[in-house]
Amino acid sequence: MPRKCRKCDRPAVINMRQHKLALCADHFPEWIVNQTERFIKKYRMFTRDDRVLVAVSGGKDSLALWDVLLQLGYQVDGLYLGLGIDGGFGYSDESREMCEAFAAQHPETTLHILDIPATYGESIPEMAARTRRGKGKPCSVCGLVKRHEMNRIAHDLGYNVLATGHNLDDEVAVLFQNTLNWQVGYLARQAPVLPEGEGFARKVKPFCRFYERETATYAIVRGIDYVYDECPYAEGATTIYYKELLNKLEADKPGAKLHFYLAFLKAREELFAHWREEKVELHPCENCGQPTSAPGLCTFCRLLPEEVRPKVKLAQPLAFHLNAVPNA
Amino acid sequence: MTEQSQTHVLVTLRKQRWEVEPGKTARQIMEDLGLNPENYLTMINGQLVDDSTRLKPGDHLKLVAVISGGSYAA
Repeated sequence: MPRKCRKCDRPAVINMRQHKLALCADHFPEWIVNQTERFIKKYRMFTRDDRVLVAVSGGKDSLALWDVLLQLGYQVDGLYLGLGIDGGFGYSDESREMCEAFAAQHPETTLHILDIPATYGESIPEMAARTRRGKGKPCSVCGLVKRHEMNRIAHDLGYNVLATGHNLDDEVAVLFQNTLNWQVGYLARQAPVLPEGEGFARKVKPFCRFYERETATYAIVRGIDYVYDECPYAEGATTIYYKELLNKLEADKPGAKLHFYLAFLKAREELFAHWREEKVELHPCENCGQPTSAPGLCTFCRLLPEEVRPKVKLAQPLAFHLNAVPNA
Repeated sequence: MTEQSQTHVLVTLRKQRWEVEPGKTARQIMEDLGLNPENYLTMINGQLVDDSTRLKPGDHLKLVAVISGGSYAA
């Protein structure tokens, strides 16, 4: 007999061994929504007075997060950055279509779209190929562009909170990597909330305690179409290697990942209670105005060819609404 | 797509496919194939199910990979 839901007699769609909890297609999404609200409050992420921008990629985590926050009644909109990654199957095009399809079904929210190649004249792989930073793989350039543009757009559009769909597997893989390398500064900063600073939006991860299989289950049960294919550049990524390694541990010791993360968050309070980051004086970038650690241009603006730089201050995303598809 | 056996269980994972004996649970089938059940969700004949569900002859077990990678951007 298949496993039954803890709350009713229907067949379970998921068994969360770390919680000893199996739930059906009705009770599982309800549980996810309630737990998300609990984490938002517990870690003081935001309130219903805040304006929240969710960074959406077309993947399961970010679309599921957007869906949950809408159900909870927060003031939330989406931001999609078109990266111009093809990978032989139109990865970015498909990702954007998924985000637009979700937005089309939720007229109460807005999807902001910024297409990087259309705005700055180069896709992420092209930018990476031109610069020393992207030698080999474009992931570092991609991260830099996303961090800059998400923060800039959140600021320009008046959102004080930037939410991402990072799940527990993401958090634990990074924690594991930073522990292996004793990256103390990174460990000190790893938390469900990064407070706002001069010119920086508050960054929050409301799904940080959900396993990846839970966010995927939620998306499927809720009928949310998402991109199943991985970014073509993620193949062989260290993060994936660590996730597989940690899942081997989880298979033998259910709850190992959750315990590792929660014990870290607890230890972190003691370990870093007196941690003082070297105070870095921030300066506004002379091109885009975003905060940067050295006077002059920020790293993002330095990445761009000189003739393209003036576009940064003017680049505004297009708002996607049903029946008003932008032309970017 | 080749015709599905009515005596076996068809297992698919992206472009990979296997035919296996019925009577085992989805979790046992994954373990037999050398796959870690933590990395996949299981759908039987299009329905998402818990991996303790036992497979019958003619069933289609689709494995959905859940691990995603990429940059730790925010």
